[in-house]
Amino acid sequence: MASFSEGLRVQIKVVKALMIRELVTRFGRENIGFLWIMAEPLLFAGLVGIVWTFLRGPEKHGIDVIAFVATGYIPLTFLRHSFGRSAKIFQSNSALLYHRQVKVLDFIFVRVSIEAVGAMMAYIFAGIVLLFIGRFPIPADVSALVAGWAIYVLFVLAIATVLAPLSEMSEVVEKLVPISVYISIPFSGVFNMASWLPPNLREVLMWSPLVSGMELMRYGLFGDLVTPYYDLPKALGVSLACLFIGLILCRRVRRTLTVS
Amino acid sequence: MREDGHSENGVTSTAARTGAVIGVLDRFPVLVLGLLLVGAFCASSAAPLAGLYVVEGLGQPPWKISMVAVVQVCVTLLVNRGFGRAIDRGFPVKILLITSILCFALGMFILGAIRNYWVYLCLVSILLGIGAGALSVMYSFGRLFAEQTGRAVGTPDGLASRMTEYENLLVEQEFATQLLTVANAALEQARVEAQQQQYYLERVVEPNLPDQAILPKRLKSILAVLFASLCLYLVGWMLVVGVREHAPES
Repeated sequence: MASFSEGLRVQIKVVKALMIRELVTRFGRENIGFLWIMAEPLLFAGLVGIVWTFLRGPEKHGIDVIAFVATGYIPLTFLRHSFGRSAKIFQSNSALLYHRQVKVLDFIFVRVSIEAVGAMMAYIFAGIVLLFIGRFPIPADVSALVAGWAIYVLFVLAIATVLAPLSEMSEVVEKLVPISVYISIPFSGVFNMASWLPPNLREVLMWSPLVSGMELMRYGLFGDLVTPYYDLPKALGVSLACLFIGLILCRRVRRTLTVS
Repeated sequence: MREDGHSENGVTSTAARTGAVIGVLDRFPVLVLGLLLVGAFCASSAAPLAGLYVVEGLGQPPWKISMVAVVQVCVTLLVNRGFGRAIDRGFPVKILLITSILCFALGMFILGAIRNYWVYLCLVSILLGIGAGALSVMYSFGRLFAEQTGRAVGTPDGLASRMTEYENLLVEQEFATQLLTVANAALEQARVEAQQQQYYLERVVEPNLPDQAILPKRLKSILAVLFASLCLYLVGWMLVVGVREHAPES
């Protein structure tokens, strides 16, 4: 037990240190620094929300369009960045493997965590600002919101653990990652609720943990204004299956890596 | 009417006369009714069959029926006038009544006993005529009686003038009776309904403590607070890290 708590302490320290390093190396110390991590989703969500407001009116199915786009797009940015960043993650960080305490999984975990926390920061920031101008609801059910985020993050983490070793094995995968992100948009539930879709399509979408997570998030936020459709066993099962495959692949790839 | 001794001599007013007549009438209900019975019986039994009797029973030509009828009608008219005068003069009505009854009875007896046309023409028809004349006296009595008690036609407070009013009252009473009946029925029904047991309450399940509290969802709330705080902490931590990175190297 002592070894476990010791290991946990070291693990936390490593993750913390890696996160700080990642933040600094990615965004630098200039300007607003790592706050840039919020900038992109906020800008995009704001612009798309405004355009949609002009195109389709301020409300859609009884929900404020700007709030809807913001809640959909910020997690999507998180997903896109996480996938993009997980490509070639081992190669770029391989020097760190010199330290005995640093494992390959830490890289993936740290990058996904940073993106997740950044997305949450953007979420909270956007929510507070929009709340002040009356375009954002007060969360109706915080537990559903947090649960939705948890499912979303878990699945993204699982996919990142698959993508990272795959990109190491093949160049094609690395190039295909951005395309696959765009293909996944219709299955991510970002721009529509499952209840607006026909039932047969909905059944298919339930296999996507992204949809379940997004529905839960939206339900936690808008409450009874929306009708959420989610399937937690399916979502957790798919995520854990992906994670399992990813861990196997990471283990295989780890053997081929050499500390340069 | 003199002999009942209550009306004064020489009084000719209608009221006095009729009062006396009523006295007489009141004295002889049996006679009056007897005369009515006998007269009505004789007239109704003899008159329709007279023609048949004369033609078939006595073998006479039909025109002789008319002879009998003429004699009887003439006698009736004369007797009627005479009896009227007699009543006005104060002749005892009792005698008139008895005479009528006797004439009827005698006439009918002779008619049944002697089968001869001439006897029928000269004796029976005259007797029956006398009886019939006296019979009409009854109706004069009735009229007098009605006048005396103010029930005759014509007087302002008479029976006829009050008849319509009476009819209206009668109709109103009938309506009122019906309304009363309906109201009584409704009342009775309402009483029965009130006494009936209309709602049945039965305890299907005995009250007990809830088996399982649905709310509050403690674990869910605790976890929600825990993880929401964790998220906020991470966000805050990252902000703090960013701020510390900007701090000048000490």
